[in-house]
Amino acid sequence: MRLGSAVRFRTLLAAVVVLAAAFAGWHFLLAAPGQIRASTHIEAPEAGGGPGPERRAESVAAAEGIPTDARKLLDEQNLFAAFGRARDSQRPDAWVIACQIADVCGGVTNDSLYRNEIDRRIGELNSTNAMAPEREEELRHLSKRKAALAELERRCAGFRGLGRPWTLNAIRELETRTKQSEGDIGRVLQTTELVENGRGDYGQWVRALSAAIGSRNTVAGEAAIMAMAASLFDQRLPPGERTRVSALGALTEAWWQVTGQSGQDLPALERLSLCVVGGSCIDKDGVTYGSSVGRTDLANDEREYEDLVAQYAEGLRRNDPESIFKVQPRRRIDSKK
Amino acid sequence: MRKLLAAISAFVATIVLAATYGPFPISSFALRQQVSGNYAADEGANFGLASAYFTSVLQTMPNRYKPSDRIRILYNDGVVAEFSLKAAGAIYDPFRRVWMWSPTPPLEFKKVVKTAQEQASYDLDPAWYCGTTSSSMTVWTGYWGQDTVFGSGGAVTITAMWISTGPVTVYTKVQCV
Repeated sequence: MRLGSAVRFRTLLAAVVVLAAAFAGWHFLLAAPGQIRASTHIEAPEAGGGPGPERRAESVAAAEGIPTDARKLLDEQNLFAAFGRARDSQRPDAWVIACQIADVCGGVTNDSLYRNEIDRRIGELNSTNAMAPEREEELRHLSKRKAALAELERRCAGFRGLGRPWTLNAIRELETRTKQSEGDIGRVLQTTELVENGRGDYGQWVRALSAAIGSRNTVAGEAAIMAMAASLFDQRLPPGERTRVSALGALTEAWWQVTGQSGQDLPALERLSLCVVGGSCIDKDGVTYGSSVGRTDLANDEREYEDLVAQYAEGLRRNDPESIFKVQPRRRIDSKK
Repeated sequence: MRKLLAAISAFVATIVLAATYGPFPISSFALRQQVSGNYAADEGANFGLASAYFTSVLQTMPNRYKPSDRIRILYNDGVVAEFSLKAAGAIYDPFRRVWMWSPTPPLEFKKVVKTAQEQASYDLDPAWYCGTTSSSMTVWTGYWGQDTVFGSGGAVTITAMWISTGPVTVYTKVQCV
């Protein structure tokens, strides 16, 4: 009798669980239709170009929900779905962001380099007699890096198993599409390549840079910043002297300053990457670097660097690429120290 | 007289090319890495080799390299492969003020330069300009400087980095006989 009651109770319990699971699944489908749609139709990219005509209508629908500032996609919890929506959209700025997502997520999910490195260091610290406070500090920092890696792996989970060749193909296809596109980003990439290969019109290139900087699109502006890298003053220094300053770094900081951004508000993907790869971890307590990773030799050139940032910010406000190319460090700041 | 003019024109064109494209110090590099594979036919293998080598260089000297830098890697068999560093693989760390590179190899393959010697002779050949009547073009001037030496003993790779001297518009007027 007791056995019979128990069996009936278990059957009833199982039925309740199944019904609850079915209800939860139905509710989830209704609540997040975009995510489900995006994550189910992503395949390895075709060798030659974008989506076919029959997929285009579906792609436009999937692209709904791309924020005006495409960089906000980097904050999403499901980066594979964000990648899919960006890739299937008709927006070159979203394609640039899709490349960035694939680059980081493809690397993190296909390579255990950073996990191995963090675990090895934790093992070393646990087996040494180093000064306790220093060891504790580094262990705390390593646990932050490990947590950031776990968070990144969770957000990038959809990329797991796709493999490195898939990632590289996806990035290559998106880069080609972006380069061939019309609009500010496409023009910057096209004219930069032409000038670098000696077939371009310098004036046209400068106008393309200026249009991208002056546009309201952050991604287009950043594309212009990157395209200017090869003509900044440090590119003309011999390789041995180039570590002292990072003209492109100063220009990037100036760009953030002019557009009201800050290193503290980096999108989640970049914030997590910096912690995992570079060791600069940002949380509610501020930024920690870990005891073994300090600021570079640039700390000695702080004032010179700040002056560079100010000079670049001025050039960006005037939207004058040519004046940006002429910026040089003002050595007298060095000599005053 | 016409031949003399053509020779002078060709000579002037040669000087312009030498100033804008040369010198090529990479040809004097002595240490090379042992690798195998057909570069021209197998871009993938070429890319893989360069990535395997250069990713570790990037992580040890992150601030030396920046997005859009162009590098050449010279291999044991005399092949020189040219790459550029992609912006997609770089994140700027505003706290330490260095560029960080993601684990996906940030190299973009550009081309295989047959050998340094052949490339130099190709660029300096005045015959290359013959047939061009009057034209102007913007060239990205600069030179290849030796950058890093990686490894020791038998397996050593040297990279050269493109040091830019800026874009210049070159006007040419060459009469070919």
